[in-house]
Amino acid sequence: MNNWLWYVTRSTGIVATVLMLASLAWGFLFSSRETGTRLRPAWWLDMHRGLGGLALVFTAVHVVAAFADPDLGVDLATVFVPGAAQSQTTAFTWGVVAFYGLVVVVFTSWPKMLFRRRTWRTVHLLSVPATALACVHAYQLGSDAHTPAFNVLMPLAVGGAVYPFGLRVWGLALARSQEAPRKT
Amino acid sequence: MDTDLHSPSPPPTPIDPVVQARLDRLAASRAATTPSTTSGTTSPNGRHRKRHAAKRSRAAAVLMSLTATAGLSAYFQHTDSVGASSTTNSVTGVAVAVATPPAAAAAPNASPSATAASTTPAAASTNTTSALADGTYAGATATNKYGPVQVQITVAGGKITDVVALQTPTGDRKSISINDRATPTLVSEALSAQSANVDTVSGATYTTDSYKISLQSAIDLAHATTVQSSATS
Ligand code: HEM
Repeated sequence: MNNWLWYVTRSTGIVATVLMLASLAWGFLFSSRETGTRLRPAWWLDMHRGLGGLALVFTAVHVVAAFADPDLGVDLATVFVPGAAQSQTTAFTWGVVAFYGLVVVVFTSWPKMLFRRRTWRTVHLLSVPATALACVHAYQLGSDAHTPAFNVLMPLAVGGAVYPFGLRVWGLALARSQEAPRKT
Repeated sequence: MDTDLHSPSPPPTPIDPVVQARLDRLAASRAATTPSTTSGTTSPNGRHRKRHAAKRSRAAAVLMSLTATAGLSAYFQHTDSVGASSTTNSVTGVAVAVATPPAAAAAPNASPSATAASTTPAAASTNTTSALADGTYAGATATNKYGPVQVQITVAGGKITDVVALQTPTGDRKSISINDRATPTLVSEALSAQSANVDTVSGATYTTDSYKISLQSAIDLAHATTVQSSATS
């Protein structure tokens, strides 16, 4: 039995998830200005964008390979309609929603100037729940989700994105508290 | 006045080397800031801005991602082929009578011998269902490389009236999907054949083999129950 489409589905799924997490990490390091002095801010922004675009490409390959493998039970409705999968419906739904989220975030990154800054930022922050859903999808549906390597490496990758996210939130909280009128 | 119109014009005065160097530098920097469609853009203030400030690092990320994908795929193939070397079914547990009518139930401990369980479907006895004791029988669990398969049959009026898969492999998406597809076919085949002589479902060889073993052990038990209950009566 030729399983290569299955192997590609699994490997591109893992790589796409890591790329999404890396893109988040780069984005939060950039916005919290924790990028150090060695590399220019433009480098961080460019990497952030590049990683996001690459995540989309690998997710697309992941979905196409899953669809093309006749044994995985993925039809067009499963790919495009949340809740349409015949089995493991919830797990598939998270994947589909994450995919839509990723598409929206990446395709609104380029024509940024078409949006009001606030609107754009809200849309862009969809990347956080989209990445979280992709991780849940992987845990519920992945054939490798129960292997020791997956259970060590995935949390590490997630931690790598949660840390800069924490820095950003902390920075915002600090700024807010300083802006607040001081009591005399 | 006598002027010589044919006298040669004086040679041009050479440009001051300092000025020439300046002009060269200017030309070079102009050429560098000319907008090109692929490598950069010129902002309104005329300064050249690179479109990809992290061009090399991005290329490295693409390369690493492709390498990781290839490496993981090769690893998955390797682990799969290692697992494939254990292709035989192992049978664990025995067939048990889940519910039998009083007469059959009176037969003491009818189950174990029924699973003198064959470990390959080829070796499985192909008893048809003649003289099956009514009741519900859970077959032995046949485990292939993807996981366990266990089948339960219900016999009424000496015929198999229902077949249920109690266990099928659920370890990975592929097995789940294959079993979703194969199990209904195997059930309807078993019901119409009234035996474990079912055709292999294409793409589900392991499941079919394990299914046959478990089904046969349940049928054997129903058969043995009949024999024992008629011996005791
Ligand atoms: C339309 C959307 C999607 C579909 C139909 C889909 C389909 C699948 C399928 C069939 C599997 C099971 C493969 C297996 O392990 O046997 C899977 C696993 C996985 N998917 Fe998706 N997926 C989608 C979206 C996503 C997205 C957006 C991501 C993240 C970027 C993602 C990441 C993963 C990961 C990491 C696994 C686990 C792979 C493994 O266990 O080795 N998927 N997906």
